[in-house]
Amino acid sequence: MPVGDYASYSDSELIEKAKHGEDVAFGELVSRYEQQVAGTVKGMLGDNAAAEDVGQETFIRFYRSLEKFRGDSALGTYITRIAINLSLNEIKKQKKVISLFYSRDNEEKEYDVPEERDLENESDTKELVDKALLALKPEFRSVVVLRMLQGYSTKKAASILNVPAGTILSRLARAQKELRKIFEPFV
Amino acid sequence: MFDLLIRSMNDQLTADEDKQLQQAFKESSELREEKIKLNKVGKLLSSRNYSFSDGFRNRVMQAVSDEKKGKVISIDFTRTFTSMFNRIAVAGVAAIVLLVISLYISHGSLNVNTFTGVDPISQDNLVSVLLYEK
Repeated sequence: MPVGDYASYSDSELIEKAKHGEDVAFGELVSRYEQQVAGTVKGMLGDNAAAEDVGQETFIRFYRSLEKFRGDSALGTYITRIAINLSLNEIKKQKKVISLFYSRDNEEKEYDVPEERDLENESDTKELVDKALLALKPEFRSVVVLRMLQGYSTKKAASILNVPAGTILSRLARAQKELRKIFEPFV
Repeated sequence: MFDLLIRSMNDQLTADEDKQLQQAFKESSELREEKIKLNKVGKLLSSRNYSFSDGFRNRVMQAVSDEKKGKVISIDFTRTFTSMFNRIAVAGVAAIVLLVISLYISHGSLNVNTFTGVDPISQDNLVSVLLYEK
């Protein structure tokens, strides 16, 4: 069957086909959720090679867990949960490596707040957003990525991060205050 | 009021809170400006579109194919090293404990001489050794 034909199938149909060994069906799922996973992992880790690896690992983990997926939550939510957990693990791993080679003082200066400049072109805006996100603590960043970049509701974000909705709201409020400070010269 | 403004952007306010905020908007141009700035920040963030580099899908499919063939896709070196180190450490501690127990059983005590394997030398013996003449 040509690849294009799979585009008409629903997620659950593609999952069933992938479970029965149809790799093209799984490939179609990758195409459908590639952008969403990129938004999650690159929002969490920055636009770099580590994020590409985590993105790839996300789909491999999803492939391994195809049999376990029962469809209780939307597929996008399920994949995003894998992506965010792997991203948080990657951040922990990176912190461990940093703490092995640098003192605590250096660790705290890990991320720079962007320098003041005019946001005339798109790449400047992208760079600014990336730096601003990385300036946030991972627990705040994950909430910002889910709520403000991916557009998940507070309830969905809470279920993905496995924390109460109140925690999402308080983290989001703190993150917005920090972002407001970071973006002060630009807005 | 700034906290209430932020909360209004993420959560449903009560009727009282909403009334309070609307009143504050009427009275404070600073607060109105804050709302505009917060909206701009939100727009900047939501405008950021990320995508993977070219060939991402093919790389994933190759990894899936390797997975099917039973190849190891990625080895998490840190995790493997940590789990191996833990096993080696536990085995080492167990070996040391067994050694100490066997030493205690064979020598009946755990003094320095037991560990060094040197027989106790009393001062009398030492003197006799020093005074020994052929």
